[in-house]
Amino acid sequence: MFAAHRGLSNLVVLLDANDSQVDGPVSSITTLEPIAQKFESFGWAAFDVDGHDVAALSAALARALEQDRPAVLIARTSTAHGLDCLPEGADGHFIKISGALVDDALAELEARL
Amino acid sequence: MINQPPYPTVLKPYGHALVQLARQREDVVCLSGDLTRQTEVDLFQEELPERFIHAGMAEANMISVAGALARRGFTPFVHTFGVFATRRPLDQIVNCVALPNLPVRIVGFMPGVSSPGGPSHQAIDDVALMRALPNMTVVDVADAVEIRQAVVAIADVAGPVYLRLKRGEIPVIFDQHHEFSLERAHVVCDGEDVVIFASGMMLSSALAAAQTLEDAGVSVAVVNVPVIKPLDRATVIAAASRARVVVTAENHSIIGGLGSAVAEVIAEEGLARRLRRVGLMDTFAQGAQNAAWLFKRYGLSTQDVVDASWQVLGRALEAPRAPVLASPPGEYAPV
Repeated sequence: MFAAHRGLSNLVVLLDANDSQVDGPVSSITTLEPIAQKFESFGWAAFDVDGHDVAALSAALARALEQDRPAVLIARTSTAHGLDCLPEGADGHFIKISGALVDDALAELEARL
Repeated sequence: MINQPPYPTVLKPYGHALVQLARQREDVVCLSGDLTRQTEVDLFQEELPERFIHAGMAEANMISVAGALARRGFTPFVHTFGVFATRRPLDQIVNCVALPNLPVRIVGFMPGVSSPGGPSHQAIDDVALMRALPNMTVVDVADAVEIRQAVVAIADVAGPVYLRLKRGEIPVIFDQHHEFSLERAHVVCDGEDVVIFASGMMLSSALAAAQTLEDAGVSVAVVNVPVIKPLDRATVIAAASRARVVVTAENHSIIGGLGSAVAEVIAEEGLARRLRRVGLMDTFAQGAQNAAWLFKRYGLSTQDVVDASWQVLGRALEAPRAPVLASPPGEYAPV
């Protein structure tokens, strides 16, 4: 409310929308959606993007900076994204990575370089 | 009778005790601020889901809801970590709970530097904040036997209560004959040179320090003070009067907690006893790999209690060294 009222057009919020909290998916505890419309109703510009897609994030950021009001990038992410070696159903909020898993993760990441 | 360290430990004594209480009392409801398993109330959620409320990570709202439930005749038990239970929703606690003097039980886990998670998660001022509020009862219990009894005892307190609990493995210090009291502090052992007043996790450190001091020829009294407010002034006055000097030990800032409460009584009674407060010395702590390192780094070890006692007694020689106690898996020894 403050940012929109003051017209803080150089303010961009990057929101990590990972649907994750300690007790489980955020959506199972408290409904936050529709996030974009909530921001818009407060006078913000909102961009819903795939938070793992760097090109999409970059494009949305450029558009956000062109706005005449504050803007939010709602980056949809998963806390377990990007490592195929993680066990099924791994909870990125709390994950404890064992020595063997560290080796697997490093091997997987280095193979991508 | 008390056990000797390393103490056996149990898991979830609070969670089990709350379920047991709620089975006997329909008015008990349970609120969780996104830390259900960590605050042991996953047991309540499984057993009595119709009286369990997921409040989410929205503590100000959770406290307001609890206040409203209390107005309608319920006895709400509110659960999260100590920092999020007190500091974050302080204004709601004042206006929705303490001012109307409602029977809300605020249960804050992970006291002081028992969390290696850094200042955001280390409740070093929760006792001070809650003690400053009119109508609030403040309880910081030491072991599983006291926790089970405290749950029953606080259920009937007319006004609000802040209950401060260790998270995870809970030591069993006392035997089953031990009686927790909301009115009386507990003189664990008597002595004439120094009296150590301790609360919560520092009780085990105080007992270990007393052993080391006794071995060095110092006569030590240890008083377990699980109820910091209302403070049992009579026991504090009697114990401080018998001893030459006074030490307090708390897993909390030295400002506003047990040490301050004892200092106020000593000054008001004109007892003229020198005092040393063991606790966080008016500093934030920090993140670390484990809590044991933090207890040493911030002056909360058994040796720190020994040193404080030795110095305030004015002994010239080096203070005796407290033995390092092993803490095997599943057992608890003070740092």
